[in-house]
Amino acid sequence: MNPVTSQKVLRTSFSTLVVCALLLLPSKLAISQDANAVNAELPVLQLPVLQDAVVIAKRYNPSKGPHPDFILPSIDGGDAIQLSKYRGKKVLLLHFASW
Amino acid sequence: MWNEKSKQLVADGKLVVIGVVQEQHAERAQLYKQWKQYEFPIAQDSITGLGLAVVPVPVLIDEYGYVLSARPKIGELEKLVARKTDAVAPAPVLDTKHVSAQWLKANHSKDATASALCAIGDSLLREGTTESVKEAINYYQKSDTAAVSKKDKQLKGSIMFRLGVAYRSLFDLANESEKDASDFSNASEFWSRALELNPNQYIWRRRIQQYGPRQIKPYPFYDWVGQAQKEIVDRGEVPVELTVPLSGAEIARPNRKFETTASAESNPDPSGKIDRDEQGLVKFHATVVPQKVVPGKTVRVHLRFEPEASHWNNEAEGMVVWIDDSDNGASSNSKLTHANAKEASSDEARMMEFEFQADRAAKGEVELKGYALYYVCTSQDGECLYRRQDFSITVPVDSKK
Repeated sequence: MNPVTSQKVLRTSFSTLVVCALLLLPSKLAISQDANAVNAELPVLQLPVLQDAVVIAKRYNPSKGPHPDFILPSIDGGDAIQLSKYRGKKVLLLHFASW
Repeated sequence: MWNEKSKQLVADGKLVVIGVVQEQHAERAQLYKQWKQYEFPIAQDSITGLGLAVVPVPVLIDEYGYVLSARPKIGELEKLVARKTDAVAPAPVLDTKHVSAQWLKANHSKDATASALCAIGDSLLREGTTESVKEAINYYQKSDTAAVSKKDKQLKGSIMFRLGVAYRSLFDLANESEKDASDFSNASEFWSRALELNPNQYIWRRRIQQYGPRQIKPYPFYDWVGQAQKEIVDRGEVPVELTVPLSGAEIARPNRKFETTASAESNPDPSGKIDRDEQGLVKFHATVVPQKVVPGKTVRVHLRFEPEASHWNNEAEGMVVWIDDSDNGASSNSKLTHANAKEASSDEARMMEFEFQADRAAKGEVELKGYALYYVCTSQDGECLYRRQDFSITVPVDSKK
């Protein structure tokens, strides 16, 4: 995905953002310096205003674009799990239930 | 399946696996993880905050945080992991402090939008203390009130579901002697309302089915627990302790046909000769799941009896509950029994469950009547009594379906 495409995707794919907290974050707050450091030569992206991009109860079927970052409690009571902490490696996210 | 397929890729440092479970109780997922010997971290999303409507769903994400494949086929995993990723601007990162209740309240205290209030509720719920969960309920209720615009209305189902999760959490967090059984009833009500608003949300449906009648169950939800505990012990390990006991509904097998044994059971006090518990020595509460009964369909009724300023006398026979015949349907059982604890006296809450099928012609409300017979001793003077408590349970009929 080239940078132009990625910007376009970013503008259009935030309908999949679902965590209430994400809806409140202005774009500047949503990107950390660490994340940009992964590909420092690229310009800082101008993200859309997230407040208008909510589809909380919609069926989750991301087929492209950025996966929303999340911070969720670990089931064993340890440190919270944040998706973006695993940047730099491919991540297989397994949504499942024990039943 | 995915665990086996991904193990080598993880060992080779090519892939990270993260599990996300949508279950209410983290410790049950923890026991499952221990049983299956999963080594990957597992997060809990009990409120379905990620918006997932079904499980299982695998999602493969690339090195920059972009979805590489949603629902990849298991046979494609190695190929997809080996695929070179073009460098792009990394996906947005959530700042840890921006999901804390403290930060959200400080920065959005004047922001009365439904989303802001819901986000504060989420952060408080995540804190997981009785006080924070109560506060979360308060914020979710405010969020519901604020959700008036057309766009906000799609939030309402999510808010209702969150309220259900919060109330059930409150019920589970409380010590046995301090539990308020109406918290479970509130959970049932809000889960039912959430599902009414979005009947296609299958995870929400599962939550109702977990506590609901056999007729609507897709499978027994936690019947694996006993086997898991045994196998873990056989391996020489100590199984994760389940602090929230499994209810009968959570291990009951599905049964599309409503079955009743009511006619074969005999009424232990048909003429009402046993003295009533006029001192209120035992507190009674019933929770119905789902909260309303559809004509011709079933609900599961959870009964809870707690000694108040008294304790069970276990040197006599066990407790008996009788459900009267109804003019508006049938019960799965007329007579329920509860065995005594091993000690001579005890003060545990006693739970019993039965199912009720409403007649096809049922309208308005159905009233289920019955009574409990129990042996108790008062805490004040140790007087031991055999008493009867009559009860009535009102179940609204959902005639719209």
